[in-house]
Amino acid sequence: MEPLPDILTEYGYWIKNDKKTIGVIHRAKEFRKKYIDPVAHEIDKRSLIEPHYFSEELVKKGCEYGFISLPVPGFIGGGGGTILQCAILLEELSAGCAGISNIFGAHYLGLSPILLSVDLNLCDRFLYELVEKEKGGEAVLFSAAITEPMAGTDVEDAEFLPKARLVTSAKKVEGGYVLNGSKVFISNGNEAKYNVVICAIDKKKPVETWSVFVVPATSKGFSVGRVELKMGQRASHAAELIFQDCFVPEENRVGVEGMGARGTEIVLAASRAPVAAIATGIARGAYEKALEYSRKKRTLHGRLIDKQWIQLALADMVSMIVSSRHLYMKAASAFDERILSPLYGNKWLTEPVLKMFSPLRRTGIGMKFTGSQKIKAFLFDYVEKKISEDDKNVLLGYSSMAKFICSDSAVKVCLKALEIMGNEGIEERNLAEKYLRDAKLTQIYEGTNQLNRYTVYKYLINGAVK
Amino acid sequence: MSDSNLKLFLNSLRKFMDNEIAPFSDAIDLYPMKPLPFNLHEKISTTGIFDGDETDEEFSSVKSMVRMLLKVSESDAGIGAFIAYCMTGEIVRKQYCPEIKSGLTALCLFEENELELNSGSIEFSHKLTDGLLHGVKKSVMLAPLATLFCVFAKNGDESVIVWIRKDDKNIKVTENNGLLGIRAVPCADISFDGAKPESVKNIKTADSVYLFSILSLFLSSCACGTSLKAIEKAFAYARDRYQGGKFIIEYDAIKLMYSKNKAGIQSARAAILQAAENVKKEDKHSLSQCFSAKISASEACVNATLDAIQMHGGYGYMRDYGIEKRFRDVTALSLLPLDCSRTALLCGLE
Repeated sequence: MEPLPDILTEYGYWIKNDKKTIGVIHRAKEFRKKYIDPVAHEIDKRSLIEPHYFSEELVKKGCEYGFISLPVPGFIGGGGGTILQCAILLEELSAGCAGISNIFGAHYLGLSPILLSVDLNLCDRFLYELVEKEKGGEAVLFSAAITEPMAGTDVEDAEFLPKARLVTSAKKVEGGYVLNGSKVFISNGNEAKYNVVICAIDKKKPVETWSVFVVPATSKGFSVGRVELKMGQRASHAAELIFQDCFVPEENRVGVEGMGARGTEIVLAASRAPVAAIATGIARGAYEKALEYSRKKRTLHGRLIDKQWIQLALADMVSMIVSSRHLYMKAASAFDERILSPLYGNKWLTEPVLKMFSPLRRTGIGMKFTGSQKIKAFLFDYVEKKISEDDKNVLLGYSSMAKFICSDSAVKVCLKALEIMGNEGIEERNLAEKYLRDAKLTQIYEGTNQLNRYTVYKYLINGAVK
Repeated sequence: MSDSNLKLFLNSLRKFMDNEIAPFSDAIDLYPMKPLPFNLHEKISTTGIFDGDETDEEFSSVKSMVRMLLKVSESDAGIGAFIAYCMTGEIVRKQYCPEIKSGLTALCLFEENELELNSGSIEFSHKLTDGLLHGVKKSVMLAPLATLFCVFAKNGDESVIVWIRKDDKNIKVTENNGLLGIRAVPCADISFDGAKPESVKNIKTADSVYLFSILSLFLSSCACGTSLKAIEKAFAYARDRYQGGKFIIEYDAIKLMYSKNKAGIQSARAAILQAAENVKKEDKHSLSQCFSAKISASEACVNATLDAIQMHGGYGYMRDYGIEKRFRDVTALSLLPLDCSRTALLCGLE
């Protein structure tokens, strides 16, 4: 009888033997083995002493694998990856190091508002640059700046937004906007070439005026404040972004004014499943270490893994990982099917058509056309029609569910891994404690797990009761 | 020492922690990656905590020590753990080898092989051959600083404690193993290559179990002290943090997190104090009480510090707030000297 495949190398029926997805999995596994595993521990240690240390080389290597442009649509020259593919990539990388994985994850989050608003002008300007530079081995990183010093949960949910104590706003001026204020805990914030900033135009009417802007790191009035000293995921930086009369031209606004509140929820519906995937990857990494340890560790009468309590603990861990994976893959697949495909599936917005007109769009006249307020408004209406309120709510519910279940499971799995290794589990050299430190962050970012639970209640329970 | 004298001593300990340790808290947490600006053992010795009082039973009782560790660890569990390991080494020396000149003692408990733990017994496999000690002891706390090693081993079929001075040329201490938490306590492996013991004492199975029970109590006290403070800090933060139009302490989720965790820690603390009062080497039930207290404290404290970070949101994850350190310390303490599952196996059926 043929041996059964390793349960954790199987992604199951969600990928439907799709060659492209299988290709992503292979590339991610190779990248982890070649470039992450040998340096993850060292980067983590070094970043504790030098919080500004950033492994540019590693990100450049990611260019060779097409990781930077994976979610960028094919008509711009990107990988045309789905949310599911991005999530799987992040799981694979996180099994090696969640910090390194989060560099790519935060970058995808930064790209999401542009991709999900189908803003062709910004696609042709910023994403085209990203694709072209990736070919030359240069990583153009993005970040998404949402959290503010006094508003974390409040800015992640439209219900709380009106009560948020906001410090950042964009004042409308001739030809654009002037941003003032600050954003905190922004992953990639100090490394990104482009920061996608989400803030209010009128702080008194945040829901109505919540808008999205692409702010280049070279903008006058923009600066990076403190880079945080984190407990884990240290390879990826969390930085404070400061805006002091920072001018942003009107053409750098994503979509239309005031689309931010709904847009943020759509982005979160897309991004929480990948965060759940990061958590699943962390759990997998911890499990792998515990399994290896229990196989190698000798007892007086055999191996540690021969002990029943170890076997049961490993079974618990692997079950949590497989369940987590199913949950995030379901959420990601549903998003791809119900939002991403329809969004780029219109006869005028299909890949061949968009690709055909690409050179024309990138001319001066083309840029002026796609950047015009009429076209932006047209595309905004198009997105509004394509993404129904029900779809958005249900998908946000599922991705939130995946996020909190996977991250809670990750912390539990990591604690179990440490327990299996006993007193040796706390030693850095055994490489397990890092996974626990990394896992904790997944319960906090992308909305705390408490907020995610509330979102599940709001959209999957309360909605159903009505 | 009377209760009022102990209170005075605890008060002086608190001042010492606030004035002498807290300013260096970050530096201590980066040890051994960065050298400490002072000799920690010497500094802590100035409090008199290691002196004990040979004539005063009360002062050196396990319960008094537990109360001291609870107090110290409110400020820094790493320092608490440092003291706990020092004290346990000293207890073992006084009980089994009082004739040996005291020194900072490192207890060498773990081996390359997993310890064999069964209800009420621990089997060590490290062997004394022709009166000399060979082999490796792993993850020895205090090893880089210790002057005396207390090695648990076998001499034929007998269980023994072997005392070896650090200046023996046949001992090699590896570099510090970096730890997840309680970084104030340096940890290293020691290889003995024909080291000559200064003293060898036969012990009974119950003796090593007693040692583990005492150490479990001490380290659980440290976990309780720091996690109680963590949850109190989280409560204070929740009273100030404003989200969704109100202070977050007004949300049920936060109230539950605070109340349940505080209740968990308080009951673990009570169990520790009771076990500390009753513990006797000859009384298996009292040893079992110590292990039960350790198990409940570990779970309660890890949950509490995880939730304390959660209540702080992103800020809890950053070093500046000091909450993440408490979580790391508590998680490390929950696995020392044995994790909950191994402790339960040792505790077994009494």
